[in-house]
Amino acid sequence: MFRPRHAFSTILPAVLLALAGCGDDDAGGEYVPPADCSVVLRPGASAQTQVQEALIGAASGDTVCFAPGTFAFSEEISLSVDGVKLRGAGMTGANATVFDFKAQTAGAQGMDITGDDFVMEDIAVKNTRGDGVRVTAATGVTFRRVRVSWDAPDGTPDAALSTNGAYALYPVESTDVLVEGCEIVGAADAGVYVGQSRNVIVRNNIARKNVAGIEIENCIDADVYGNEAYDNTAGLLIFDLPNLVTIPNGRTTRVHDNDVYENNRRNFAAVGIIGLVPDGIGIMILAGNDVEIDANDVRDNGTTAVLVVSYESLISLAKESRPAPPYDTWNETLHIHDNTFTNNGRSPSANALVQVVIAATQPDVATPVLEDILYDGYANPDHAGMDDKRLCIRGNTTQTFINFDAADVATKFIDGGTAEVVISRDLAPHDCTHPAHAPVVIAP
Amino acid sequence: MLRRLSSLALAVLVALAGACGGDDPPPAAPDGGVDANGWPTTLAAWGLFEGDGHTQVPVAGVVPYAPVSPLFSDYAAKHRFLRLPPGTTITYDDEAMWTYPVDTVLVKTFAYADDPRDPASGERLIETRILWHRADGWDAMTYVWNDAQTEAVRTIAGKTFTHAWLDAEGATRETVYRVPNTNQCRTCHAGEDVLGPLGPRTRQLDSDFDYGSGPENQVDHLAALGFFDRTPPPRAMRLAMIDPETADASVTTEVRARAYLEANCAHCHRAGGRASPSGLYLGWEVTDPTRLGICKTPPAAGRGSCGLMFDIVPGDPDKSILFCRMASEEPEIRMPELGSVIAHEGGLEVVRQWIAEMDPVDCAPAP
Repeated sequence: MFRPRHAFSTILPAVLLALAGCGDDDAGGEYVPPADCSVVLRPGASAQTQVQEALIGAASGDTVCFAPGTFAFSEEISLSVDGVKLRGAGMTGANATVFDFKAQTAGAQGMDITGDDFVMEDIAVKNTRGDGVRVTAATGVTFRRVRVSWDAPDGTPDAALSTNGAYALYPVESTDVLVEGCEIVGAADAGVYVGQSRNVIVRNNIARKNVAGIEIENCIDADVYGNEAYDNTAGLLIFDLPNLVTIPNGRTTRVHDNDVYENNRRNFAAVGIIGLVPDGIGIMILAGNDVEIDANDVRDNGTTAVLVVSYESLISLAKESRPAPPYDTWNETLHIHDNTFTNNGRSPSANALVQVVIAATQPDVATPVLEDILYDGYANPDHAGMDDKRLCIRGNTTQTFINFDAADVATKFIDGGTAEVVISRDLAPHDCTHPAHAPVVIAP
Repeated sequence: MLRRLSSLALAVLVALAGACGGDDPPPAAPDGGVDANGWPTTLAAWGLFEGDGHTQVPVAGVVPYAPVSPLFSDYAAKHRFLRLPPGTTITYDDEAMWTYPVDTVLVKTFAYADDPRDPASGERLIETRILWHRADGWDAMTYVWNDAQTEAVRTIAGKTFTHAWLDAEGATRETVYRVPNTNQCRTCHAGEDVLGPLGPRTRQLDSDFDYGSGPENQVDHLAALGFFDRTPPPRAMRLAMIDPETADASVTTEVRARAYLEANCAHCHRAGGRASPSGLYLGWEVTDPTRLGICKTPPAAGRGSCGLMFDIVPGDPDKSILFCRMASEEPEIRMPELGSVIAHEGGLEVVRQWIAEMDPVDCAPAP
């Protein structure tokens, strides 16, 4: 979006020579900058000014390299130039490049990126006051081997606290988004959050100790695969939320070949929709359109492997207000197939809504075990009988299933009204398939 | 080409001095010097003011103005000016932002009065920001005044310092002042779009200003100067903004509050603005209650949600995220994100009253 008028690249040798003398690096004495670094920055007392000036002065095509050690920032760092790569020396280990925002006094996030064709790799980001790295309205976003975490007040690393930032990696309203090889620990909302974006790949990341490990929200065309999500409240979320403008309704997400286990952490989100998510969830779909969930290994999640809820459930069970058009509350064209579900649902959440579902569906069971797939039963009446809109479930290793009839559960158990709850564990209405998704491709 | 290279080399030296040297602004080039991007390195080189500019008396052709509903900036006083290139005009519009000719310069100086209770007391200039309409679009820069108040120099990477000042009651306040870096200029003035002015348009300038010979309507004054490409409609036909703190008791709280939100929030909270992902739009023209935040759950708030569920709960400001964020001084909670660090009592009052006066609605009836 923004191209500076001058070409920093033409004066690279001078910059390299001069900046090499700056600061007092506290680690990585053997660091040899990659040959294609346009500029090399080293930790030091003036990191804030040094780094911010370098990012303002960068030119399209520059690679800004960061030596090992801790860059202590006092304010948000921003980048608006297109085509800039930020490259550290590693996201973990003795030679890691660490951006530490512990002393941050300004800025709603650690880093605020608006340039197109942004790349950030091999950097650890810690202790941001709010969100970790936000990228807004960019075309071309790559996070590669970026670690985001928060320390406890006593300095213990990797703490999961409600005072942590909400989102760790936060690309929003962007196109061609790639998040790979990253590790996110302790986000108070979602570790990797991709919102209102198009053409998204989130692969081979580790997300743990977050409320939501990875969340795809109101996106169009997203692939989520090869990730390891564990010890979160919920591992992977595919959400469409209401009242948004840029992408009011998302569609076409595939979630496959992920390792999603032991997501039993008590929800520590402040409030909001995310605060309603029960612990013990492997994968959750909210108001999804054309979502394919396949070949995942989902195990040891205490409440369920896959929770499928329409926004209608949030209205009837959680008393959210009814969103205005064009928001589409319904789940449609979901396809859950060929997953491995092991040992899920054996210690259901104490969350009030989960307990209502248990009370409604297995009232007399001493130690209830919930099904692999929990489905609220809401289906768009305008699309009744349309095969291409169905919830299809086929070919999972085990696939215990319940349609828990949320509408009548709400009437009877929440509103105190009269209703007959008609639960069903019959998979026959869902024994179908949808066409497989084509892979998302991001042009180099 | 040689000339360009030498100015480039100078810029590198300046940049490097800054890179190693902490927070001091880079040294100014000799008078009339420009940096590699074509920006004069000193404010003086713009030739906007009489003398060294400390008195903020503009030279002929530089016209002062003041918006009806101003952006709150931690109680700083602001001096605003407009300069058009000779022989050019603004494309006037009643509703939309005016279209300014290339080489228009918009100027805003931030200052603190030595004693706000005494109009005759002097003031300390902090920075002078410039929006410059260049051939390929608007561009932004700020110039930070020196302690001696004799010169202001171009400052790219911003500057943060603690300063003491007297408030309207004469009490000493000590706050952090943040001169924005040029990226932060873009955060408000560009959002997701191209950079541009926010304030000077019909509804914001359709009020009286004393140019030295008594109050005059600013739009009419600019028209008389020949600044417009057409004759604006008569004043009665124009829809002026309202000063949120106007003494006019006939102005409703809602109109005051909406005028405040327009000036203080809508530069981000609009389509294409920085806060576009939130779906909360606070512009003057917005009518959809959900867009305005009525019973609207934010998609992405984190601690910024203040532990509350809805942007605005009609009748209940204390349950409204919008009010909570305006009242906060924590960086990850506070709104607006940039431009001020302290909560604005006047703005809070009008917004609180607006929400409190709404017919109560139970956004989420309890089960």
